[in-house]
Amino acid sequence: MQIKDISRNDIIRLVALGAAVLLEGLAVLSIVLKQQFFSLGGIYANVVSVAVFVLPLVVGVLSRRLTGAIFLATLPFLITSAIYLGFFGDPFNIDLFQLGVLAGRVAAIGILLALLATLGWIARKATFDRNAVA
Amino acid sequence: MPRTGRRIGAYTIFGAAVTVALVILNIAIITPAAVSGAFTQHYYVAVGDSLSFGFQPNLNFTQGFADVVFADLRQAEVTSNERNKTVLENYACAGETSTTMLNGGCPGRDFLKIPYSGPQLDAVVSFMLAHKGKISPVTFEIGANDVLPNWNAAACTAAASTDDDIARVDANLTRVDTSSPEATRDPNNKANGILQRLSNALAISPGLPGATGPANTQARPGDLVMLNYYNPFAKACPNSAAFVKKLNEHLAADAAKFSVPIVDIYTAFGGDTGMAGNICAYTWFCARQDIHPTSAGYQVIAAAVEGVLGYPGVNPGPKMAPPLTQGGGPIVYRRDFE
Repeated sequence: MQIKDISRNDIIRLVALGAAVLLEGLAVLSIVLKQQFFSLGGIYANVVSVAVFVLPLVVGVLSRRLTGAIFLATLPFLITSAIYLGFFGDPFNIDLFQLGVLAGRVAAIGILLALLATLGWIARKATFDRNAVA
Repeated sequence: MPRTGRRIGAYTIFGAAVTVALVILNIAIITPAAVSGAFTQHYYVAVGDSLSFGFQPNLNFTQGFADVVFADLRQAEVTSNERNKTVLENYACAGETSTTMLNGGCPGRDFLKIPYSGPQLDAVVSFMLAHKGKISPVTFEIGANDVLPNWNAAACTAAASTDDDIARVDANLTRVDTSSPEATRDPNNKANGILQRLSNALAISPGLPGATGPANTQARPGDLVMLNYYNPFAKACPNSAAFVKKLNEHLAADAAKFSVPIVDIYTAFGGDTGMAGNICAYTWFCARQDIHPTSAGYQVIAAAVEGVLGYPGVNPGPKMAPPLTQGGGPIVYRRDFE
């Protein structure tokens, strides 16, 4: 692995990208578990609500490739879903139709995050790409 | 090309590192205690008169709008963990007026869904204070029994006392004791009106920065919505629309002072143009001269309530059942549109 070959700007970008993904993961967990992870006065819930919308956009803006943007923006939610289902999911207490509702919710949130990341990536292309026509 | 190959390798490492970090973060945070805490018991509180009670003259008291909303709330909460955590607390009393809600003496106090003594508002406030942060939603309606008896359905005329009664409803709903900040905020202060006391009982402490006063909706952890009324006399007395709309306009103005959203039952029942055509299907007025809704009517009210609440998975607004046309067809239930 030749990390040293990556440019300094790229390293900064990747660190910011990683931080954005982890913060998005925290925001998702905060909403799912209705938990406050640190003190932010009375505006914690407001900040988290905005963060879960804005951070996928940031991930999109910081990503060079669209596939990477979508993968990284949806990753926190997918991992949370997988770990929640793995440890606490109770599939024998729900019937097939309820499972469908659950799957629908998960898919809807996944699509939302992916679309936000796509929007961020498009914003990056339109703003920074020398070849962009706008 | 070798450079590209190295970059892809670096990005793969980066992706793996982020994934591992997320997995560690999740495993550290998603503990049994955290999951259990996310599904704390919460309560749907219904406050009001016979409509909230679910009264029907055929003695079916189990299909009121509160029962329908509650069933849908439970249905929307998919996992078994959550489903067992929602409880309906229906404090409604048939025949309740805004005055008896404050002072006691409701005609139906011997037949309640939740036994309590004294005024309904005292019981509700006491319950809310004992379950802070665990109440959502709250449906509230009052005023029909203060004003509707003024309408003479045989002569299609309103009594002269109508305006006085509406003014009394306004005062009972909106009065605020401004003698001191403590008196204003005290949910048990009987000098405050119904909306002020409900708002105070639902308010979180210490509240949000810059959010004070009766219009402080952000300080309500529960979603409080207030219903207006349909016109049961729409078919018998076409001139009764102005009478009911006057009450509804006052209710809307009163609710607006406290930033409480109104559930527009008048429109859900067909509004000015469709009310007369729907009223026989949605109420017992044509069959038994009784102004209370039928089960179909309660379904429409529940759909309107859920539309305003807007909770995910609970019958969002656009799915509200449309008014039936004049002459009717089969009764259209809300679920047909899901």
